[in-house]
Amino acid sequence: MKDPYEVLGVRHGATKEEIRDAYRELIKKYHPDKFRDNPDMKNLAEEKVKEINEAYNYLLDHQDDGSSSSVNSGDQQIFDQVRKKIDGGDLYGAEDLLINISDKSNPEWYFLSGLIYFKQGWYDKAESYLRYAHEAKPENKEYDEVYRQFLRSSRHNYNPTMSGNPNQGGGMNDEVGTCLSCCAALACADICCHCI
Amino acid sequence: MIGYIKPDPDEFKVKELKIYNAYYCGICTSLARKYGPFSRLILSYDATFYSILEDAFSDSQRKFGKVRCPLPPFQKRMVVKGKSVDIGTEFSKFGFDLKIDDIKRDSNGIKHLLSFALVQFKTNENFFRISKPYLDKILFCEMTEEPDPMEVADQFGRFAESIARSSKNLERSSMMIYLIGRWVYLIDALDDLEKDFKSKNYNPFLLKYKSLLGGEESFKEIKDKEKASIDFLMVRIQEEFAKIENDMVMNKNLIENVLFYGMPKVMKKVFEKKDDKV
Repeated sequence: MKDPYEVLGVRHGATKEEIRDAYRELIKKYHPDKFRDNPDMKNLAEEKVKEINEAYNYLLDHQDDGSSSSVNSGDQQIFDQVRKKIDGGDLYGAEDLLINISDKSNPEWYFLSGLIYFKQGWYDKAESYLRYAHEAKPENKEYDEVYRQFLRSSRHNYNPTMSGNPNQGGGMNDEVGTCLSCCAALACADICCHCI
Repeated sequence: MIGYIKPDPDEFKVKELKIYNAYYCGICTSLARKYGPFSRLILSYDATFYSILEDAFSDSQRKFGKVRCPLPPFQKRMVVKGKSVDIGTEFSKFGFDLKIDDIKRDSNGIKHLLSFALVQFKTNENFFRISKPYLDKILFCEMTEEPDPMEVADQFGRFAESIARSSKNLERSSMMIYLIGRWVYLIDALDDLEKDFKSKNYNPFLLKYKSLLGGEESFKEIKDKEKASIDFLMVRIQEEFAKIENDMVMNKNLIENVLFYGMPKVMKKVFEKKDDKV
């Protein structure tokens, strides 16, 4: 499902030189010849190199297009299937479909990938993907809603053992605390009055 | 990686604690019977959790038995018997085999020599076969010094999930187990920051925050930065539990205790790093 910029470890809108440098660096790091004595590791290195090559070629081909936001109909169909799979809980199936999308600069692609990362508990990636989709199309209600939901659930944490720290979930906030202690003081005063 | 999925005994009802202990002792006695008395030492909380989760969706009645325990030798203890305990036993053994493999590969000196003395017959070919692709990927990440902890944690989650998928009952909670696997990897890596830094072992967090290292406070700083992401993961685990809890036939309270009290407690200890070992 990977974003080609992420595979190469460069930012969006990086220049050709930056992309080339990053590419060379990675190829050097993962060169299969380094793992000659371990066939399992060598296979994995070959896979990795293939992924890097694909990302590099993709970026070379699409560098000049800019971000075209028109969705071709084939992609739209795949997006619909991906949504169905995510709803059905088949995250790996959805990932596999997302790899096949040709235009990986589409906000919808970022949104759906972000949604999968969200479900897999992948905090920083979910954050950046969902934010990217949200910023690219702020008028889209769904992107906005899901991004907010993500922010909420990353802040909310039901954790009964952390009640000592009021900033964490489960504790009381200051306002309620003052209010309650006020009440308690009055109640104590009342008891005292009766005693006297 | 072992011993992070534990319960908080203070929060158990008395009868729940008894049942939890019956599982724990059940795996212990079953280990001793299968692999000899010394294998009792490889008993882990994680294996107990797998057993309990296996029974949660099981249709068959749970069977109890009475067994004599060497500690103390006078009274008999209640244990659970049956398929779920067998799975826990196999899982314990498998975890131990992996650990031995790891030691053989990495360390040298006395530990290395000892590991060869401990060579035993391998029994969990099945587990090995299922999880091999993920174990290979984790090893590959270590060899190439992958700097993104989430990437390695993802593989570890898939590894845990692959084992869960080998049993029909556990399959329903595979998403939750995947998330727990991720959580365990990340917590373990954060817990071992200082140790790995001193012994120059691979730890993805040390590579991710290379620029921060050096100062007294650097480990604490790394933990603070990662707290949000671990908290988020915990919330996701609890959400997945909420999805399946109504299908559970038994043991729901035990699992709830582990997810809502035990694991947050472990997390708290790792982040605040009290002197006692988690």
